[in-house]
Amino acid sequence: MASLTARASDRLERFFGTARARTSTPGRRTRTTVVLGRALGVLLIVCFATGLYSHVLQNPVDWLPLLPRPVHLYRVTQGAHVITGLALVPVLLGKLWSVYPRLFAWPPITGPVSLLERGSIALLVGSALLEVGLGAMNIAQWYPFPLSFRAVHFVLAWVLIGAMTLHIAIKLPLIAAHWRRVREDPSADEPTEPRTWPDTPDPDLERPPTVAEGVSRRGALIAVGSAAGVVALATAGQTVAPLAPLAVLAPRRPGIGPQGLPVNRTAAEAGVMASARSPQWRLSVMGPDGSAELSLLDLRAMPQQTVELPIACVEGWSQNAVWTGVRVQDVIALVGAGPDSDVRFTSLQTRGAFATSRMRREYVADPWSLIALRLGGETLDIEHGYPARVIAPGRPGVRQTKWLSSVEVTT
Amino acid sequence: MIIVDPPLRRSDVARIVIGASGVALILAGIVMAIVAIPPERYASVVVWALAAIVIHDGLVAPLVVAVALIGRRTAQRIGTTAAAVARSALVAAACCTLIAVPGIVVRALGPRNETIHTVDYVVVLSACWVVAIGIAVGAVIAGAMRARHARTM
Repeated sequence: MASLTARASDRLERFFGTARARTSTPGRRTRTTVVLGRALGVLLIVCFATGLYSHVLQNPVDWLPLLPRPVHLYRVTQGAHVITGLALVPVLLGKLWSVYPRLFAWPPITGPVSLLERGSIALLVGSALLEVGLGAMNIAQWYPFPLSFRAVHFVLAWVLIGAMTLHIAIKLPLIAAHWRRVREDPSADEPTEPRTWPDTPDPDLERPPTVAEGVSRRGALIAVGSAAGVVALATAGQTVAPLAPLAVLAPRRPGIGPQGLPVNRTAAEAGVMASARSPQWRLSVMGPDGSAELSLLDLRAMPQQTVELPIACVEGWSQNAVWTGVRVQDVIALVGAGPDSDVRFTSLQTRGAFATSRMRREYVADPWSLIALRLGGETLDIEHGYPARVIAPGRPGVRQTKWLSSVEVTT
Repeated sequence: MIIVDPPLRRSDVARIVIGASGVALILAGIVMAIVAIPPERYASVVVWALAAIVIHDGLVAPLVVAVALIGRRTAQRIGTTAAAVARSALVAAACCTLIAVPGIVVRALGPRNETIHTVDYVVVLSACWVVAIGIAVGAVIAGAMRARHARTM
């Protein structure tokens, strides 16, 4: 029995040794990992910060002021979130490539510290791969996971950023030692075999890389950088107008849709095809001085404001459009409310999670916050919210309620 | 009073502070998970995270290793610059393919409306691979010619 165990252990050790040698190439120096790790860290921090901002806009907390201006703010932050999220695919895979031979360290666990380190790396890798995968699949609207995207993506973001921070602490000496570029040493002996990833940190951290290692490292970084650049270029056009012709891998392309604007939730999906077109449609307005019922003609008879505002989706696409309608503050003034009020909009929609939306006073007070009736000079298409929808600066598209049925002053 | 012997260096203190912040952020995530995710879904999250590791470590990474091993001799023969160009083109095409897979599936299943996934990704990827393979082959030929030229000098 003992000899059987010894033989199995021996075989495993040989297998791991071979796998480590096969997967080790000269470019996989610690310096490669540190450079890719820096890029990964920057991208993850941008994703985390912009994601947090999007989350706060969708779930405002009372003590935190929100910013309607600049009008393109959310467009920029959410566009950056999705572009950097997609660029993470090559950078994350490149970082994992650079440390892949470490997977074949034998024995895999050498003590409590190594167990902790392996555990924290598993948490980091698992949360990073799942987070990027969930995001990429969600924006494509193919979501086969039995998990609530919003809840899991938000929670995993905290776990991922925490695991990354913990990983930085564990690897700090190596990161510090390889932070700066060291010139290659042409006189250094080239290893006869491809250099394997050190099982333990390189005994001589100051050892300059050989020319072969330096060139291979740069080759790997160029490959990852090129891939990230191509991915960003092929998708950024869904929100960066000048790059629109290149957006061949983006789920949306600007200018495509009714009235030249993409649609997320259709009228049929929302179950409003009949109610939105009904001649009996009225907008109910409720406030401190009572309530009012406004027909479409009533709304059209009020002072109209035309503004150019972006519609910016959490899925990362956005587009500028010209909207015409009545100021939100003018509508609530009819029921005795001032512009420093919070309001709640309700949609006619019978299906979907965004039937109501709260608008904070910062947005209500903004004269560019409209109950829009027209888009691009034409009556609003039913897919864009006919007869009336909300459009306000700096808010996520899902909060720009379509097919309005009521406006209620809440404070 | 806690006496630390030998005394902590500044880098040790930085490490402890950064590590503690990381643990605090992970704990914050776990607390939010308890609040936001129904308990019956915890196992799914863990299983999907493990599946992501297995798919990467067991499928994607070995595939990359295999391709690299097949191309190693060619890469050595054509020189580092040509190898870097060829590798970059192929890696970029592979990453674009990964990004496009969900869109291809949605187009096959039928998108939610006609403003989503308006591009035929299969055509785009075909063009992308033709260009990438063209660049790689061009780099290999140029690298091989340069190497032969260098040998005959």
